[in-house]
Amino acid sequence: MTTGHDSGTYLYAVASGIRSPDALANLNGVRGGKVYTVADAGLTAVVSDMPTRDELRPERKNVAAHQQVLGKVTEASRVVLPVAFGTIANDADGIRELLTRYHDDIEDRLRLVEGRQQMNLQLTYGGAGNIYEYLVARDPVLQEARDQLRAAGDAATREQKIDVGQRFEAALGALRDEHGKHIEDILRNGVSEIKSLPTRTEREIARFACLVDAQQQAGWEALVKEAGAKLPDDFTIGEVGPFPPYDFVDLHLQA
Amino acid sequence: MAQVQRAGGPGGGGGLADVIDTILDKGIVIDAWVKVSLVGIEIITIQARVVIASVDTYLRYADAVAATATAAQPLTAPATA
Repeated sequence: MTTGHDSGTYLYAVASGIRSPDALANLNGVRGGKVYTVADAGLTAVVSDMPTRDELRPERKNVAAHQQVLGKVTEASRVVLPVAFGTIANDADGIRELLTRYHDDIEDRLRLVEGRQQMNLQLTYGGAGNIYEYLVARDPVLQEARDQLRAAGDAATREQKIDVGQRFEAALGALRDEHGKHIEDILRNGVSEIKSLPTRTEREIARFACLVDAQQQAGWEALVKEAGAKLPDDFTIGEVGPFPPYDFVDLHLQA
Repeated sequence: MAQVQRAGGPGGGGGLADVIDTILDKGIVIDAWVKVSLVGIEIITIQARVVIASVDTYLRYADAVAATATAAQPLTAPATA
């Protein structure tokens, strides 16, 4: 195979107003490639070369390299749109074509997120028992259903089990709605945008992505504390961030 | 009062799963250029997509509910008695 035959160009971000290109000068990206910029139509893409365009696994070292470059680009630029992990173009020319073709869409998004960062927040059940114990202990109907299920033992029918499962799901859904609304109502006062994200486990009660003005970060932290103050002891609010505004980019492009 | 825990910024703090969940399919997505292999990788995002409301989920919930401690009038003697 000819050298470079199927090489590629890894794309990390599209940025505007890179203050000091030197900040990216000695940076190595995914697979150790040297980070550089490709500019066209007034937009700047941050890239590094890849020996192949083979699929990348989201292993720790690859994800960390992607994240590290984004962190540096965010520090060095006025505004950044992150690109999804594992995005590899054929070459720099392909990236220039993309910047030209989607110039207006990209500019719109850059304006929307300028001066803002993403903070994620999740509410988790962290009490002594599990979430099943917690909800059953507070719901007489679920307690009765559980007792009947146990009394039936091996004779419990599939329908009976599905019914109990649906009741539990409804109770979990009600808890999620109640606490989620409580948090969202409070945070709404300190964010540019807030998005509810899907919960990933039974213990996760609510999850949000918030687009926060960088200048308003302290105010946002205060609102998170305020939201936590009125929630029961058995729950924990986890904050992660700041991230580049991944959840607020919403650009799906065809190369 | 719910405790508030801070898990640092990108690249630090939060676990790999949290970070992957954020960066994998968000940001600018360019269809033909996405080259990610998820074979054999256990990711919370993927699990969340699979764990949709289904009969299996209900059956799993029912088993978990049946296993909860009985606060009053236990039907059977607790194993630790």
